[in-house]
Amino acid sequence: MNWLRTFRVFLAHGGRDFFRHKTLSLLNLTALAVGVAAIVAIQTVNETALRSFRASLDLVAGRPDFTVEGQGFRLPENLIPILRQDPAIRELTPTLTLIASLPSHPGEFIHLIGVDPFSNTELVTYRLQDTLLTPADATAFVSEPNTIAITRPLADRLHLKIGDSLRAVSGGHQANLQIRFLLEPSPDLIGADDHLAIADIATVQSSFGLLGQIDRIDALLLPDADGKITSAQADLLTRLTPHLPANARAGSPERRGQEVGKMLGAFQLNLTALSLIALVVGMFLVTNTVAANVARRRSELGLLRSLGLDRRSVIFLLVGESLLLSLLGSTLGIFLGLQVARTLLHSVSSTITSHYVLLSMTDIAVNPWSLLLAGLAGLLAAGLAAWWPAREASLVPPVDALQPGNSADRASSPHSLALRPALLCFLLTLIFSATALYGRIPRTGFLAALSILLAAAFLAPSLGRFFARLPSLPFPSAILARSAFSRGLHRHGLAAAALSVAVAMAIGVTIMVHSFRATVDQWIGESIKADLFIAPSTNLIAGALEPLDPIAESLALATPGVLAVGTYREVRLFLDGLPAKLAACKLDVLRIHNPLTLLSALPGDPYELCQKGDYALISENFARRRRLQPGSSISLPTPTGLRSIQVAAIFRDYTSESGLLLLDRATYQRLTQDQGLTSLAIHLQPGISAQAVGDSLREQLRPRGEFLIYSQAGLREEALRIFDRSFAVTTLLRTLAIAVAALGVTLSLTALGVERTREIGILRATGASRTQILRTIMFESAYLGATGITLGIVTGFAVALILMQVINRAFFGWTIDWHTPYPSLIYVTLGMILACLLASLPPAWRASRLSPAEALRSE
Amino acid sequence: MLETRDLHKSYQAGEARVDALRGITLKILAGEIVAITGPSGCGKSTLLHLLGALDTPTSGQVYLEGHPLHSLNDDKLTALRRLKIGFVFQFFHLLPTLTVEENVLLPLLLSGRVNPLARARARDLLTSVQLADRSHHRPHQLSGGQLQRAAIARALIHQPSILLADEPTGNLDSASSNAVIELITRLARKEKTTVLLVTHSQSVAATADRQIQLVDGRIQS
Repeated sequence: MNWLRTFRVFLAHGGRDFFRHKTLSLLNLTALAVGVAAIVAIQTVNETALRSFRASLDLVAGRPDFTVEGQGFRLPENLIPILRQDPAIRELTPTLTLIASLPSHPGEFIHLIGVDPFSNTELVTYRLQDTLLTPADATAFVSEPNTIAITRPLADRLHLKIGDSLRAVSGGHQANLQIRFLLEPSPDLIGADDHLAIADIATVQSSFGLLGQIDRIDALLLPDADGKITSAQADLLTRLTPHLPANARAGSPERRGQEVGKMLGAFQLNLTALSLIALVVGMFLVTNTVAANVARRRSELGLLRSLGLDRRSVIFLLVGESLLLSLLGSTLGIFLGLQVARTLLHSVSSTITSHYVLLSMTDIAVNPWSLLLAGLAGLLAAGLAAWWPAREASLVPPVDALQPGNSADRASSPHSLALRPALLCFLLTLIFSATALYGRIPRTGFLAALSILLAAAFLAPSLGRFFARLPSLPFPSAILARSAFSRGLHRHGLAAAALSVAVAMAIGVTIMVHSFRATVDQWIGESIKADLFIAPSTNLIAGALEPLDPIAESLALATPGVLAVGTYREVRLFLDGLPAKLAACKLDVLRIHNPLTLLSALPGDPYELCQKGDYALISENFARRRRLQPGSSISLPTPTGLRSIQVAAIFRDYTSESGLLLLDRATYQRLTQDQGLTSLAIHLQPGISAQAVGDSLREQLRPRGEFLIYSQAGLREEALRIFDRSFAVTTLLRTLAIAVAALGVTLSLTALGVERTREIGILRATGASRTQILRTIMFESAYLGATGITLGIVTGFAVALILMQVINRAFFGWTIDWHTPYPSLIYVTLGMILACLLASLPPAWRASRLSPAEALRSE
Repeated sequence: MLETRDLHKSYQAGEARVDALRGITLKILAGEIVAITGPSGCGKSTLLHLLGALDTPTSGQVYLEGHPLHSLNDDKLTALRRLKIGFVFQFFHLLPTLTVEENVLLPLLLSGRVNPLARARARDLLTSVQLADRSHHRPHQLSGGQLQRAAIARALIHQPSILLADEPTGNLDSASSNAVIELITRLARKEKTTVLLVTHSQSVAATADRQIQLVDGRIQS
């Protein structure tokens, strides 16, 4: 078998070459490992987020066939008998969920689920254990009032044990709950939140003022005549729809998971795209290494060809070697990636909770398929990267390959046509940007960013040639380095391309994050006018979800020195299949004390319109994503039915990624019957100390539970802290890409060092000192760095433009004003220059230590 | 001018120890042209590397114009190579990244002595080796004979005390070989440079003032 013979050659020849050039092999392996690690880390964190959310859902309701749940607002429990009468339903059980703070344990909370222990036996996926570690039955669970079961990790953390009581506060209601059981999730529910707590639904309703209310009903269905559940689901939905309130969503339970997936989709896609950059940079390096490998082993390949190895086998040999290396790199990258995922877990968990949905991830959930895919991505990248230089090598006639001489001298210069692909990539950038913005295919925004990076990569050798033509510094090392760089562009071109991609990404992301932060900061300065803000403490750790104790409003109004109290209520729901936030404010207070930045509005006073009728103010990103204008109509599902709301104005807002629909408080309460509050904004009379009023309110509210009371500066600080945390992962990915690029510099110089051993010998024989050799290679690195960094900076501005004006607009719909972060750009640039110089040190040092006699013997 | 006393050089090749030179004692006078001959593997190139300050002996002494090469550090050996030694190699060893003229000027470039005078000398040398019209070409644009002539010009540009040539005709046809040897001897005599020539070829060796034959790392005659 021909391929088997080739494989034997490959093992005997390629394998040994790997060990003969350990430094090169290890550098290459590390570059690939870091690339794969970035992907594995992001995929694992994304996977953990979704799995953790699903596990929390499954814990309380098992895996039902059919679910009815209230979106934004709770459901009346009188829905239960309606569903129970339906012949398709075999079993059903209601649940009621809330977040309660634990005043005795500051900063802690429980995610309390009210369940019906009598009806959920078939769906339940947890076990309750008492002090004797015996499973409890439903009767035991409800036999004592205010019984609660908490998870063992939470009990351990809070030093609680069975028999202790736990004071919990939610929405102004307090309850003393008795811990009688520990909650043991079923082993397959990996990643379930350890804040989960279970109580009888009646206990939750009565303790927290929610009588007659439930959040969802989970049901098991009888299969239809054909034994299928799917058609039974569809039939049931048709029968139930007329009886359900407008805000009820019914259907298969997978939908909820899909919705969360959709909600997190853009966030996760952004991270995935960024993580791929590290792999793209790694690909350049693999191409470079294989090309170096080909040049170094030219005569060996010539010999193999003359002994009968065919062209296809040469490609097989070189690509196979690269694949073997990437197999090791990918394996290493998977382990490294899992470690990185663990360190990212807290940051991502907090970001998702702040922006999307309550999530508490304690350990990573490893999906073997994701790991396999990441590993395959590494292999594919290495295979693709190796193919071109392998093909080039296969086309060299054996006679030419066997000629002695300097391989670097004869290396092909494939850059003469680089301008054409660069231009093509630039055109693709424009096309993909247009399709993202106007063709409603947001994902092509990432292709636009990739295309501009590729355009830069193609231009790298040309720019390198330009730099090499400039007059050099009048030092022997600089003169030698310039000519060496010029002739080494076949190798340096790829390293410079990799460097430019990493620098462009770093600069682009830096400009985008800085601009975004500056825009948000400016917006906060303009739009947050109140002196004090009050919110339940759970809002900080669980997002703005739970209602504020209503007493806070009356206390604030009664406090001397308070000029006005603005109210804010927020619920999360899905509108037209997209996640959104529905909010309500006292618009009369807002209009006078804290007017919004209106971008467009109906004629007349939009605040007045909203106060008088079914009008709403919508945020800019809400409008962009749904293509709404002032005057457009929105169907709003509420507990009182489907309401048509007209857009009165569009305002600038950066509080919600999914967009905000703002109603006047009176309209909101009329339509939703929800009297709740999420937070208060307190405006003080001139000359009144915010600190004094804050302290007074804190003192008055202390017996009612935990509250967050922020000053204006405190809220601004908190908002920016959340912002910075949200971009923490981005910063890490940026660093990884730079690390891979720096490795590329070392790799390129090491490869050239190996290729040019004899040249170094000549220089040493002719009188070059070790210092001169060291300086020459460092100057060469400076040329390489200058090429990659200059191109990277210019491309970085283009990437920033795409990130802000294309990807951001297509996915999120925000307006980000351009702010150039000059100091950061200088730091990034200096950092990259330093990275290049440091990266050049090992190969420069190695070259300077070569024995001239040994070096001259090499060929 | 150049003297060695009981020079030994051994290498470790895996488990085995290879004794390339086993007690070489010789003396070469200023202005002499000496040919070192011997079969492959007899230690000719090793001896040349030691005499050229490219390598250090395992034991024994080497003196170049009184400088003890065997005990100097790398910096001092480099300085000696830069000022006093010129090399011509079998495979020409020109830097592919430089033009012919730049290659010739390389020793002066490395010592920071490139000035109009040096350039004029490079041009003169290139004229002497009949490469004046090729001074701006790259090495890969030249033939083997032309490459070796450029290498000779490079070896002499800094007016070294000694020129060491390792199989200078080993990679050339007979016509080019004759031309190269004639060039080396002519220029060396003109510049009053001592020449040490390692060669296989008896006809090349015959052009020297004196021959030293090496066999198995020892001087036979």
